[in-house]
Amino acid sequence: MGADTEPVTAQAGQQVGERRPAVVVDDVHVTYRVYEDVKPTLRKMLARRFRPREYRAIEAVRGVSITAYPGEAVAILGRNGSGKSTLLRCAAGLLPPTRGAVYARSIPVLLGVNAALNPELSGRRNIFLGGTALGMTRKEVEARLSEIIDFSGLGEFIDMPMRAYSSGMKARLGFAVASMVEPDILLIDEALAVGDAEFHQKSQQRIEELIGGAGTVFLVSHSLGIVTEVCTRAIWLDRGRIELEGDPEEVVAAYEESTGTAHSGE
Amino acid sequence: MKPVTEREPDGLVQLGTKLKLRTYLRELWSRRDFAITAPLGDLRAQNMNSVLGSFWHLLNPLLLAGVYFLVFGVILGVRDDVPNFVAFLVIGIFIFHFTAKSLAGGSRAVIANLPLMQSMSFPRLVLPISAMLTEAIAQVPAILTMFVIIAITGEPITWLWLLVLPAFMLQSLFNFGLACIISRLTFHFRDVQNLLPYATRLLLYLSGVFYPAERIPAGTARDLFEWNPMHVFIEVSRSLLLEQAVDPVYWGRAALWTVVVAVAGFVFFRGKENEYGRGY
Repeated sequence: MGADTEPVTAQAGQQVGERRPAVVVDDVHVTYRVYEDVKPTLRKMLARRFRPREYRAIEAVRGVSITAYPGEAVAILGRNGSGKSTLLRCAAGLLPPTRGAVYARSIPVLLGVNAALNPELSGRRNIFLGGTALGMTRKEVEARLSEIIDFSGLGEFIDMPMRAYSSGMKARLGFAVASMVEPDILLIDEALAVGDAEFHQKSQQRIEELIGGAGTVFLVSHSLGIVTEVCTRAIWLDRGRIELEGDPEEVVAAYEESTGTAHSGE
Repeated sequence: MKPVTEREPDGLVQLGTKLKLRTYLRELWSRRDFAITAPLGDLRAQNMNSVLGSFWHLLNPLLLAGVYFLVFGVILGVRDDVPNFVAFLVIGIFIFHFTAKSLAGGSRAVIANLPLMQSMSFPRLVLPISAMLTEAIAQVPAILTMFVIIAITGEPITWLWLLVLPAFMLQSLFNFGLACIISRLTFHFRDVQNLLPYATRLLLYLSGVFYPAERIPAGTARDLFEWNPMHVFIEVSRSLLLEQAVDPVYWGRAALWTVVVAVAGFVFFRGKENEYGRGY
């Protein structure tokens, strides 16, 4: 592997015959370097004569392997700091693993399109910005514009600058754009935590559609309800390692027991 | 845990590896609509909160031209050396401004887009390209204003004016290369952003924006001066607009600078392609 790779077109393909994985996370380790000081200025670099800076290594993910197939929705659970988000960004190819590798049949889309959006511009202009950032052409965005606006449920707010939006509205717009690209592999990091009940239901339905169309979804969530309702598998991550993997009901039950919050998903 | 690499899962691609040049360029091409949508949005957003809006893109260099006219033209008397000092000065400032703004924009291209890179995979080269395009779009009305001023000062309008377009395209490509280089440098050393205004100022004084080359004593200093890419781009336009002539020597130098800087910028930027989003 390495230099001779060709990106696969991002499209929900149908599987014939043998089941082929969509994403393979292969013994991934991620070690963050937390530097003791600030990013070096030229003066400091000269002062220490280009000696490398001192840092503390924090092992956020320590040897995780996951194979996800088309049509699967994998939930990742765990406490704060257990490595969920790091793992997700790694699976998205955005964070190179320190050791191990991630393989995917197409470039995964992390539901983080909001970073591409410009708060000064209207929701409508931001749909173009986000859509093209995700690799659509302006024409493609144009064709789906009314559908995206509809899904976002923003109504007349769509022509107001985004800085006037509530956090729930921003999240809705982001989800509407990212899911309309019809990603083959969609990674969601807590993005669904904001937003109201109606949006929850809509996004849940959209995730189910993606899975139904042989897409693959990874979901980091604290809302355990969505895990048991939508996901086909759950992985409980603890201090960078897989603690338990399997049926969502069982994993959620075990996780809740360990955290002592056994009020079960609402 | 057996490494999957041995089985080489078919149809799968390893993420985060360096793409082949052809593949990279194809990926880049597929993001062309983003590369143009982002600058248009930036320009729109920049100007929404001031009364004069996008007029500031023109007003800034024009006011600057006024200052230099007073200081260098009138007080120091440079206008006696140059037949049409107003046009001479305006061309110098508008052409220089284009590159200076692209450098400033390029210095922010990577470091200001960290959140974007941390949530989306796309060829990072889109960022310096967008930074350059932002200024290139803003430069179009600047060039038209420049034409108007030159015509008002009494220069004849000829077909040669059309050659300002290829000169503008060359300079855009040159600016792209500079944006690539400066954006990676700023990524390594934030200090670059603090130093840049002074470097730009120094370059301004060394580019013959408000004085003719003849002011510099003939010899090595003059030879070096005449190779200064900023002076080269300015002279290309001045010869077209003020002397109604095509200066093959300066066009050749402009083309050479453009190719060298654009290629070097591309290679230099791509060298750290997978690192930019890592952050600290």
